[in-house]
Amino acid sequence: MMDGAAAARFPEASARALGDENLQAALRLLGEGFQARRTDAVERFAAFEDARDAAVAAKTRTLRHLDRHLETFEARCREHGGVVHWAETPADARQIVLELLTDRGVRVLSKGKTMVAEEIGLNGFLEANGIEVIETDLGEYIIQLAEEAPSHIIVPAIHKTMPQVADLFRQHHDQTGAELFPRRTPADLVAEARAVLRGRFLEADAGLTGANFLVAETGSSVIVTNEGNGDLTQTLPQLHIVLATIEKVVPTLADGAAILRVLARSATGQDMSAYTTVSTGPRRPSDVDGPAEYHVVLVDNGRSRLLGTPAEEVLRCIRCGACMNHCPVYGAVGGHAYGWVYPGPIGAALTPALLGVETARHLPNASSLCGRCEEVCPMRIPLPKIFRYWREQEHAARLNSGRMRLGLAIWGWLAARPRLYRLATGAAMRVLSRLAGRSRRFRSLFLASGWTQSRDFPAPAGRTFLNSWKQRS
Amino acid sequence: MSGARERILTRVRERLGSAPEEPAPSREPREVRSGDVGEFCRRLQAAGASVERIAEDAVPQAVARYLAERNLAARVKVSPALANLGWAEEPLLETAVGVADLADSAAVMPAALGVAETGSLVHASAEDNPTTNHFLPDHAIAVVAEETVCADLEAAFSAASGPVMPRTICLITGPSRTGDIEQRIELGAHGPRTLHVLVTAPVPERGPTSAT
Repeated sequence: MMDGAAAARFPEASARALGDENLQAALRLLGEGFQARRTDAVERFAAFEDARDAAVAAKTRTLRHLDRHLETFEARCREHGGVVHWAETPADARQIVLELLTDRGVRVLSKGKTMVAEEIGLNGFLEANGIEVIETDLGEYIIQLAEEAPSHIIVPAIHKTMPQVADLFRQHHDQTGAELFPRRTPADLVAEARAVLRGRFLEADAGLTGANFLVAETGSSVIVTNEGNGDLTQTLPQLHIVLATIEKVVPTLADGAAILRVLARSATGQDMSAYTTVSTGPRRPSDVDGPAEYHVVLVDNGRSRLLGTPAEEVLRCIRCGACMNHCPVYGAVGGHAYGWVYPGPIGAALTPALLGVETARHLPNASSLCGRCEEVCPMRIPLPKIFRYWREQEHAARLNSGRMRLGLAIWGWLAARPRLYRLATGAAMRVLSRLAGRSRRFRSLFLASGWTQSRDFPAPAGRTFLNSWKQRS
Repeated sequence: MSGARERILTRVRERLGSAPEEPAPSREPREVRSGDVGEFCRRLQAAGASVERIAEDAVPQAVARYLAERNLAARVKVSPALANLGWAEEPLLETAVGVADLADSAAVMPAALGVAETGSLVHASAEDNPTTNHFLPDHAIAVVAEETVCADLEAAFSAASGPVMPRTICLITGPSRTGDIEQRIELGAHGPRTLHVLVTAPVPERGPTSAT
């Protein structure tokens, strides 16, 4: 299980990740995988930019009156026979779920993929209380076998190569008597997981899912999946529990449609995921299947405190994963280095809000502010702006190193005196250019060892940008 | 957790202050136009389903033929809503009406609507229409009437949710799949490995069956 403390160890963890050959092999697939597929999907859909605007508008409008939409959601959900629970903290949410299960004598819980469950540490807690948890999303199942945390929000086992998955299945399935497969291709492994998990869906006494969004006007939860595991999880058992954070609500199904138009295209490069399911209340009295009980646990865990702050725009996130799929830092170190549930740019923007900037201060610094995340974010979340906000908080709380503070102070003093700044930088560029010699590179450089440890520092051209600009005009 | 609700809502209100009311610029559903059925079929195929256009009275024959062509057992679970399609006309096809279980390799079920924008089938659960049948069998065969094909997601949600909201509305766009192992797309993760869609056209009363 992930504790928040690991987020503080990003520098060490990222250094280790760079040397992990399996991880690097898995991450190399991102370019021709999710990046290329998203590009294709966006090119196929002429109205993509309009759809982005509509989705952003829907969510912005929602957040402005979040209290009312939550109340409407609760009232409609209740009208349809559902029960809404409110949890301020992870501990509260865990306790609510545990009591729902123990009150009904549930021993086996099947589970669809939900990041909120990771966020509140649900699995470990339930297992410690004697409840067996069956992850049914293939990626989640793989990392459950490996006893690891997810490293991506939509592809939890993206850090695993096929041979690693085959090894896990060998260790865990060979003794179970389940139908076994040759394990030579991803298709073999998918078929084997299907065979093993089939019966388990029916064994479960309760099913737990997350929600891609909640719909206020109908009191519904909506999940978007490709495997069909979420639907089996919320249809077969007698009890369906939904875990969702409060910012997931949207006013209407039409607002949900606006989000659906950008979600799959941004996430997997599909025009539409295979299954988009709206669940409203328990089975109707005359229905022949479906759960007898429907409970929604609304979790705050820091969201309400984010409203009205410069970081509030992270609440628009629809968890598509596009930012991490396109981030050069995520692509180099993978998700585990971030040390907590949400990796990549969205993690760097959200984790400091949820765990505190003291713990997570390295994450918003793990960016060159290249802006690729904001470019692909379907909800136009200004991620680099939010990183800068957290960096300012870090600086204001004096959490960064003395050396960093000194450097910033000198630079700030200089930058506030333009003439002196130009003089100093002009001189430095000339000196560095001359020192570089014929190679035009530095193997090591005073005050820049962080750079030159792993690569050469290119020599400046001999004059500053401002010099060149002046000459040009 | 008594009091949690009030504390959360109070904090939200304090943080938000008073924002002016604004009208919802919700997008109106688009009107159906000619070509929507073709668009629906094309997108559904692009999502990995196979599509066959038949007359509405030819479902049993189409199901029997589909199973035979794929060398699948001539046995299907039929959703109660489709119990009266004249299955007796296919004596070699074994049918059972009800909710699918692990023993069923194929099932036939209705879809309430088709969506041209996305190539999705819309399942709406009802007393004669179990959700399980769409997900548990290896091979799903869905029957959708061409006149139910609507233009876009807004139209689909609006039609499927009224006047009484069903427990489950599911938009189904192709067979089950996963990209969880090395980002390679594999069909048949937990739901159906194949999805075959019979798009039916109305048969004119007492007229001859038109060849398609």
